[in-house]
Amino acid sequence: MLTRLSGARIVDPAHGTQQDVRDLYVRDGRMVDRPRDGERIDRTWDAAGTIVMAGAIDLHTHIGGGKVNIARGLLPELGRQHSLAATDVCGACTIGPAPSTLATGYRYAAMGYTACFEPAMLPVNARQAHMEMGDTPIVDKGAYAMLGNDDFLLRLLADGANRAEIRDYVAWTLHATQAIGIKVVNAGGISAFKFNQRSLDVDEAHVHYGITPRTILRELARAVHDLGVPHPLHVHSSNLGVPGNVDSTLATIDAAEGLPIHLTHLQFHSYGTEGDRKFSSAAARIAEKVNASPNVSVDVGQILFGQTVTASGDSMLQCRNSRHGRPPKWVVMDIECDAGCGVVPFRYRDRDFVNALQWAIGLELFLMIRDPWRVFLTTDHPNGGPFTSYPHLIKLLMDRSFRNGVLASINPEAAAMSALGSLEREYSLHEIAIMTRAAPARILGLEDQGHLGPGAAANIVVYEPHPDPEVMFATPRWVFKDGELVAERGEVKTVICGAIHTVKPDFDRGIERKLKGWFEQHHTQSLSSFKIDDEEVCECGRAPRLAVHACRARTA
Amino acid sequence: MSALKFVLRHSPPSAVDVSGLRPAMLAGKSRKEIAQLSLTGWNEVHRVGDLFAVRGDDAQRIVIDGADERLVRIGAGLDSGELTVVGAAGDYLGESMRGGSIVVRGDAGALIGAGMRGGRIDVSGNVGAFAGSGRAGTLQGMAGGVIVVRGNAGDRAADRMRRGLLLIEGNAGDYCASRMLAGTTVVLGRVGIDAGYLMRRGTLVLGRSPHELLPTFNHNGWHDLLAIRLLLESLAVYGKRFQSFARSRPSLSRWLGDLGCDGKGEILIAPGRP
Amino acid sequence: MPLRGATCGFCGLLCDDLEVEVDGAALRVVRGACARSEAALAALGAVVDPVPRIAGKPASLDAALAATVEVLRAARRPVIGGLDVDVAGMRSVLALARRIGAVVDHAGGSIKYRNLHVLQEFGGITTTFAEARNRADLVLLVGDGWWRRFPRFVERILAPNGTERRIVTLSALDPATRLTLPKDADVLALDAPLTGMPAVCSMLNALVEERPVKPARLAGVTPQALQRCAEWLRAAQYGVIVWSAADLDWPHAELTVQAIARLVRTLNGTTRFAALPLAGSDADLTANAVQTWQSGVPLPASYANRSVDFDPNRYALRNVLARGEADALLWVSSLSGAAPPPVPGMPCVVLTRADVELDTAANVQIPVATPGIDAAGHLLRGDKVITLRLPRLREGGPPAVSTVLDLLLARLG
Repeated sequence: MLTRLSGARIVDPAHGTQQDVRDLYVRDGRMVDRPRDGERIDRTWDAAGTIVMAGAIDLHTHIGGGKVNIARGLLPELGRQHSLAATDVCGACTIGPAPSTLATGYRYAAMGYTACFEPAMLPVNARQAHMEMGDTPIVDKGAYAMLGNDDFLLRLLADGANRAEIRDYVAWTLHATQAIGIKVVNAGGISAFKFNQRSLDVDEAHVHYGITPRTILRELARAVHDLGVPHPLHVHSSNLGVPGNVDSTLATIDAAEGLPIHLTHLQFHSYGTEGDRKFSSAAARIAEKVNASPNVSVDVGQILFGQTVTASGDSMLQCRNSRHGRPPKWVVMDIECDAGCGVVPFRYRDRDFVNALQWAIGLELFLMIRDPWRVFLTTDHPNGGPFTSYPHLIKLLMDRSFRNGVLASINPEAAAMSALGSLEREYSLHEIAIMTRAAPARILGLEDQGHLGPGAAANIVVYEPHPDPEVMFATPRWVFKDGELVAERGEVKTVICGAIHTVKPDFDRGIERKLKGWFEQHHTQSLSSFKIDDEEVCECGRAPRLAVHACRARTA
Repeated sequence: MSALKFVLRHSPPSAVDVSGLRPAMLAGKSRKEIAQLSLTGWNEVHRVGDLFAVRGDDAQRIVIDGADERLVRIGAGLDSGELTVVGAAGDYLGESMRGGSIVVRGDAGALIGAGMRGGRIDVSGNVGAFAGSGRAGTLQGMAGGVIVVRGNAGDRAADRMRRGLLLIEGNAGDYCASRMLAGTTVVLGRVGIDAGYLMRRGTLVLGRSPHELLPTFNHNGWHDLLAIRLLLESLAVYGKRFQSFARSRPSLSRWLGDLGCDGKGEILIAPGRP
Repeated sequence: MPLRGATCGFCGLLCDDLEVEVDGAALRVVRGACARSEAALAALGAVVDPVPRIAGKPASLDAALAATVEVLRAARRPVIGGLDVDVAGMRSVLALARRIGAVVDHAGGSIKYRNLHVLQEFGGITTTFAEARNRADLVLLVGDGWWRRFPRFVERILAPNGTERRIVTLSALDPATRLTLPKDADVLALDAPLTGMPAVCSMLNALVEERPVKPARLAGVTPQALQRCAEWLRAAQYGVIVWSAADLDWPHAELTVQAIARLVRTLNGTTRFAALPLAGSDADLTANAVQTWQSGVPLPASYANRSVDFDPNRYALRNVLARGEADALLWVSSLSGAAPPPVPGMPCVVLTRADVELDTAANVQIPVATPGIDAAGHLLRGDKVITLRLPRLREGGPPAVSTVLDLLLARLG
């Protein structure tokens, strides 16, 4: 089956900056260069006058796993108010602050997203996370396994384990949980909270294990790098949301010692303590550091005004921030010598000084970090706002006068403290395509995603140009996933199941001997119950295929 | 102009949401248009004209006649006008209403006035559980307005009530004023067990002594405070029984609690029989 | 005789260390046994080739499915109840519910809701089995479900590791139950009667917060013991309160759960404290989790009118049946084999455990595989975080719930 998409302007930054009008060809779900000699074109889509990009990729969105489901269960009164009726192809569901998996898949696809990555999969909760992602239709999925607060690793580090052992454990975790990357959340802090430590700075010792977050960060970044996992260590820094956390964020960058790291929801970690309210933007200092550190990539975690719910592995900080939550009901969990979680609803208000400044700080970061290959468009869904607000966020980045109009309407004290009004940068379509397609594919090691070259998955989004980028990005004319039309003008046309993306670096399986003893002594399940094999993950995740991406080990 | 009247032709097989039959939704529409409107049951849609005989024309005064408990959310979201129900009203009568008035000549179901913020509900008969409370998952119950129940109320009346006045002439069930946050609830008859459980603030006035009060309420003496007297006198407008209760000028026994939950609430008990 | 490793689905602990001897159909637990697993395996092991029935008479699966399709086609307001099924089974239940516009609720919905209600209207600070096992220096046990309903809780969570623990038993216990507590634990017994539990829990809040209360007014518990308990709670480094919602079986028991949740939150302000509500039996957490992630709202739910809605007042199975709104019942129970509630005159289709013989003649009865016995399946464990795979133990046996429901869906078109 050969399909042609004709006459569109192609924006495909992975293959250069030129945006020429040319035809695209799809054979059996993959992009091809051109038809074979004499090959019949089965169908032509006339895309004259449109702008075409590869399917978008969200590299940090909380779409599955226990904490998201707790968030859903916590707020049924809000969920039921946002009902999505069934259609001929879609099932009835809701899209509240923590949307259902069904609505998540439908809406992402209708917006032109074809792959989503759950950034905080607790290893002990991995099965459920894969199940929830499996019930998230259409898009491809993958997840980062959380390490750095698990007692096994902290014990290894405290005992001065050698790097090979840590590397093997990290690799074993990727295999056992079917993950594509490793994330660390408030390194050591979630564990320290279990010992009633209420804050933990980068160079502060864990009260029980005696090690510091700096050590945990360095060793995990090293292990991920040495294993050749494409995605650098994904870091949720210490002191989330705390005024003055700019210092610990800068210290976190230094802790990587030049190794690749990805700092996530950087907005929540870019706060100073200037001004009467002891809360200020430190975006400029952070951006300067990021610009000067080529080993660092970031996603922003922009906040957008309205009701949402924050779901994080960071039990320590979520417990501390719970007093700001609205409505005032919240959940904190200590989890299985593995990690934790905290779920706190938030209502970001544009008239509120702190919220307004948070909004401005996020945009400052977007505009001050120069390299679009190293900054990604996220709201840390749902923590800063729902993923459905991405088109609005794109407009804020692309349209300075619109942005300044909103700036004029927020809390004036916050607006006055922000440099946002003086930032003239406007993102181009090319840059938007980098940050939402080409760059996330590259940083995740997804060779066949995020571009439209031969061999790529035929994930194609066809936009109709519109003076208002929000309109253009909200409802693409057509969205093709693996060559199939899945959405048209915001309406889902076909529901398919996406693949699961993983990595499987080589490692010494001897580590299992130590793990087996650990499980027997401390855990309440066996090692073999814990591990998820390929067949099982595809069943849980309803995946037609497991896409295993290459790792190129960097040590002997 | 005569009141717009909906006479129930037959009881529907499943609960039907009739919140659409309120002035804001019907004003300016002809009877024919109104008869064409649809109401949703369980996998079935009823035309208003099929379910009700429609008479009259004044959409500011609506009467639902021959009502039964299958009709749910009567007057939900009401903000002005009058709504009269003759017969039984189902659950969620007056849910989230903000103004106007609802009069029920008969009984009403559970969760009347759930989350209401203003207006007035009068029920001549009995009501179900959770009167003046809120929908599942919400943190606040009734947050304004007045509910008067001439008969008895079920369990959990005034649960997490936030503001307003809930008046019950008859008895109230178990856990009256549980988790109450503020506002005033008066029960002239008896209450069931554990009144005021996890009450944080607010006032519960009891016309008769309960058999037992929770041990996490402390006695604070007998009071004939001006504030309390004014409160009682203000009740006189809600009917003869409240009037005579106020005129009896009872000296009230005051209990503070629930000390297991901040303890800033009060239960005021008239010296009646238990 | 072959020995097989097994994971037991007959309570929310999901013990995965069982060894079971499989002799044809017969099953015997040789390691990791408890009263619940032994009873269930004995009953299931005695069954040979269960057959579907129509109006009590044996029938082929094909005929039973045809009869079920007839019932569901004729129904306008169907209810799907029971729901003690694995993840795959629940996925199929929901696909069917969407297709036929059903109301769905778990058999233990009203029990489950005691905890869920508090989550929704207060929140909570909770912990999991391994955290409690490795860290808890004080455990407050409410009721006796930790032994009666979760027989290996003490062995697997409280006893190991030689951790010195203080244990408070809040409720009156029979001597045999008390004997199951770890021998070396420092135990404080309050012996409060169940009927006094709401007041006791509120009183403990007041004492921990040092409010001017008079514990002597509390019936059935000595004031000294109460004071001591409050001191122990405050002195804990990592305290855990354990209860099983099924024990709190009185009207509005969710208020007592809220008092416990509040106590935990208060204590957590200065030390570490967490709740450990024991649940997960009969797949109540599994059913609710799948419903919640797929639709965004928990059980009980309605899929009427091509949309989904949550309302415990309107859609609780008990209420729907009491109001006479439903016109057909599909009952699915693959683990506990619980019988459906009586619904005289209403068409009723029952998918149930192989060994269950119904005394009322349902229109259609289809035996289904029990997860972890005749089919592999996934269940969510009682601490709400861990999902385990229960491997299949023996060959043959009836089809899985998901298989039967998917066949039904295909026939409904």
